Amino acid sequence: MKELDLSDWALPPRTNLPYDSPSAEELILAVQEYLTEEVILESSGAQKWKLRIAVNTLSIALRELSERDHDEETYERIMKELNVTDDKDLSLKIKSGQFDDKMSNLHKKLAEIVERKLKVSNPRHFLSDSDET
Amino acid sequence: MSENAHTLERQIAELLQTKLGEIVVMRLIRLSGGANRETWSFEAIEPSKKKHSLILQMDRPGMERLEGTCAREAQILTIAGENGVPVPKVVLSGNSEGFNGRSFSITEKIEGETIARKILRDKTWDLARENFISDSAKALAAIHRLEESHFPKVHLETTSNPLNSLEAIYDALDDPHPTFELAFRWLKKNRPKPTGISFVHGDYRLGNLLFSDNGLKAVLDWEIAHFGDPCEDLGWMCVRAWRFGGDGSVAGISDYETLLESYRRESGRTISIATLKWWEIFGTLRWGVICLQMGGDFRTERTRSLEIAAIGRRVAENEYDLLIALEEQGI
Repeated sequence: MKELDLSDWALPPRTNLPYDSPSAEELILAVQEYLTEEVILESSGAQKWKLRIAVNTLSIALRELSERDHDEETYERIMKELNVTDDKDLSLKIKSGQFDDKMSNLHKKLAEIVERKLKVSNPRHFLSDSDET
Repeated sequence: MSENAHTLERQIAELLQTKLGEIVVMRLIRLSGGANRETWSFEAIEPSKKKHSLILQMDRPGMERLEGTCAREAQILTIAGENGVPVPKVVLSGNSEGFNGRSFSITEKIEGETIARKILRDKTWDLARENFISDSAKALAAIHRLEESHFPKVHLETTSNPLNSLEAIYDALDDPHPTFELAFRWLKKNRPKPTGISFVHGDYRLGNLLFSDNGLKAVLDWEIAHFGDPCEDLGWMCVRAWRFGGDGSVAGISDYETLLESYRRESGRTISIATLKWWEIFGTLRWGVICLQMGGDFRTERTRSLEIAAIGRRVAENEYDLLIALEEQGI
């Protein structure tokens, strides 16, 4: 009897210790592929439309999982730069006119956050002449 | 066919007896409707074999608090139709015992297309697109000619300060978005002179307009019609969400100048691009607040609808559009 060659049986390292593979991201991707490669092909009309929304929603979830930590840091940094604690604090200060004489700087900082948000929720929405990646 | 659909067929036939006599209901099909109502299409066949293609709408259970929107909308349709606005003809409306007291309307079914992306892109609708601005200017001028005296029995809100009304809703949600706050601030400081108060459709845009291949056939969805500044309707159709990816600033089809010139010819009102732009920015903020509110419905488990959940994530699109618009305004 021939001896079994086990030399390439080693698994790639797990990325989500202490959990097992597949990771959350990989699971979402698998569901997404199942929807696009099987379910959508067999559907039509309103159901097909709803499935597209489902697939798209999973894409948002995946992008959020990969960007969340970085975007949270950006958000915290900008709040510090504007000398406010959070959205609520900043909103109150805008409402009471405390940013009226620094609108252009405020606009720039808000744009930085909003672009991060949009990159996650709908990157296709960026105008083509803006600097999206 | 389900037992429910059979019951519904019988109820429809009974309701229509006073209008059309002994009819048979055929081809009853559930269409996708909005969040507040159910929509069905069907054919009513008279004994003489004469066929009527009709649409039934009824409020969803639990919507009674909205003062019977289907029957109210039917009253609006009738009055708008008598005054030159292209709308479906109302056959019957009211509150039916058979539908558990729910408000309903039955209107003629007009053949045509409402799906924005098809109208914007398919060759079939070339002529409809070409006629879109002049058709819309005529329809909007007819809508904006209507006054309170035309609606003696319909309860319609008057929104004399839409910015404050929107801010009251936004503040009540208590979910601050600094970009929205900045937009409110700018809009308040740059208010244009009011154009006056007229009847306003409130949701005039692709998706709520029905086209035949040569142009606009009917203006639909009058649920939030009210009295207010007629510029509200003009600005709303310029909001980027309602361009559905089209290039034109107006409904993805045309440009500001063409709309304003055509509207001036039909209505006699001269509106500046600056005023139209203010109302477009207001409309963008309004759609942003609506997205926030709908996402909130999911967050608070008022709905489990996936579509509504997805709309919650569209808030950022409006923040982005607002920041671009405010930058253009030199903020």
